[in-house]
Amino acid sequence: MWNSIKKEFMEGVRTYRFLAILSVMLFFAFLDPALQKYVIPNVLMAQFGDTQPEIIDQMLITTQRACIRTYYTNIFQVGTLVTAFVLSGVVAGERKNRTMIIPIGNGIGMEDAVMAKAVVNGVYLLLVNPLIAVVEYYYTGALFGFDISLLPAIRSGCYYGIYFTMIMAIVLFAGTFFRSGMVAAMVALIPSFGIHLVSQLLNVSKYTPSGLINEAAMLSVIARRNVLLPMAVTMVLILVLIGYTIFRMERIELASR
Amino acid sequence: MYKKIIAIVTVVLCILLFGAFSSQGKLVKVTVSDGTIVGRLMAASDNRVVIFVAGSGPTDMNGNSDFVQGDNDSFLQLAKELHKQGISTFRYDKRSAGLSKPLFRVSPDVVIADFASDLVGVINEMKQEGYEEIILLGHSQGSLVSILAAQQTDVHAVISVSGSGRNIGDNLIEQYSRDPELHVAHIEVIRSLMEGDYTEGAEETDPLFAMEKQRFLMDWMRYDPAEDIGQLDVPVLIVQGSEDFQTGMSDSSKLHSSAKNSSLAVIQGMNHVMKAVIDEEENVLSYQDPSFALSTELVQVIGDYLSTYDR
Repeated sequence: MWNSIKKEFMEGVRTYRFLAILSVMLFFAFLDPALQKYVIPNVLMAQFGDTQPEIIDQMLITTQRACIRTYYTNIFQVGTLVTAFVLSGVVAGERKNRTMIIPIGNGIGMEDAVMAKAVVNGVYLLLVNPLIAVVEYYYTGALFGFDISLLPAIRSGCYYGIYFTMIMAIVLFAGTFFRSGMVAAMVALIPSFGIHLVSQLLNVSKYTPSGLINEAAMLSVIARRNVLLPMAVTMVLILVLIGYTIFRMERIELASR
Repeated sequence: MYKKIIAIVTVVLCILLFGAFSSQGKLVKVTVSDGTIVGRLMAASDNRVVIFVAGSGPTDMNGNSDFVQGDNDSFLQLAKELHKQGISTFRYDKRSAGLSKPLFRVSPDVVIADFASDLVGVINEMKQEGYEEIILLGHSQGSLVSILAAQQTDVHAVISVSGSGRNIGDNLIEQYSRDPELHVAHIEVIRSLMEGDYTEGAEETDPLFAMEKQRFLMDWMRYDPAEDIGQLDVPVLIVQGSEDFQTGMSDSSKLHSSAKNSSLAVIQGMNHVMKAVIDEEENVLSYQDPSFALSTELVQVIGDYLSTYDR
């Protein structure tokens, strides 16, 4: 088992998968506040001049709290895209390249192989999101001044970590249907964005994974009970999707074209 | 093996979640005359308990109201902070809010005395739980309710936070008069109620003035908090925030001068919902945003008072 995990971890490092996710998210963590602080005010001033200063004031983000919330709104979209496309090679890509035959041929069970992928990538997402939240917290604090405490920011990062782990599970599952990583990623994006869209439209976020996104943006001083249900639903979805991924992979002929 | 890993990760997550949320207090149900009050007891290892009494409207045990879009979690935050100082707290959903609401028969004739009666029931329950020292912390309208309950049963101290020192009619007229053009109809209705007259069809101006609510307001206007606080023999701490635009220094001063044994604490930068704010925009936002933290000075003041007041 540890060999499978080690192999999957090495694979993540070798293919720059981990680096890609980290660097894109860090890039936005640095870019977004800088835009809010330096670029958008100048753009608005150039657009409206000083004719409507009160409107410009209302449009500007001037606090750490508002800046982190804007970042989280943006990272939902960017993070979903990055997670889907970067992790699309984990199952679909390996099926296409037939690299999955190697561990299976060496006597490792399909369950072990898929679980190693889910555990390594899931744990990575669960760790990297709170880490980026800490970076974002200190960076926005340096730009705008500190007006919230660190713990809510870390908690929001954890909520995103769980949410993106669900996106990973969707991508792994989509990989059992399509050999092309690109196709698997694009298909995975439909439920990934669809869940959020439908939840917002029908106002049912408190029952769906979308509730995690809403709670992350709250940055509440104390963890709110509202997050329990979406978190439980998300965790069940992750487990079910991984279970179905194993189920399907055990029935797929890996050597066929 | 992987099943074991998943089981371990799931169990660890569940323990963390359970730990995070169970620390918000044990659910306690209190049967009162015409329903059941539901609250949470956040117990520390001492024999005193601070009972939080919420302000007007359907305000729940965490300080959030159905009338406001978004939560501020003020009571939840205060309970957590006091717990860190080793102080037990009990906070409850009013009969018109949260888990208590479905446990009361719907009545259009609720009056302030009903809230005081509910609180007396809660106080008795806390005594049965074994708490020897009962402290009431009334916020806004809850200040008046605490004062009335303290007249009816033994408590050891009352803490009035952002409580009005005047007849609520005068207070509301002052609030509405800040924007008189927008609130001309509101002011008329309040004036009529103060004179003992209902206004037909006033709910079209504002749902606040539906007939049963006019009845409630008229009953509320019968009370003079300054006069009522003067009847208390127990120590009273009056807390007023400098950024409170619903009650002001005139209210707290009036309460302070009328009480027999009171201390007054004015907290700079604190607004009506006990949050630390720096400007008017934050003041408004903090009513519906749980990311605003409680005034740290408030926690300090309450903690200090509870360790030094005359028992």
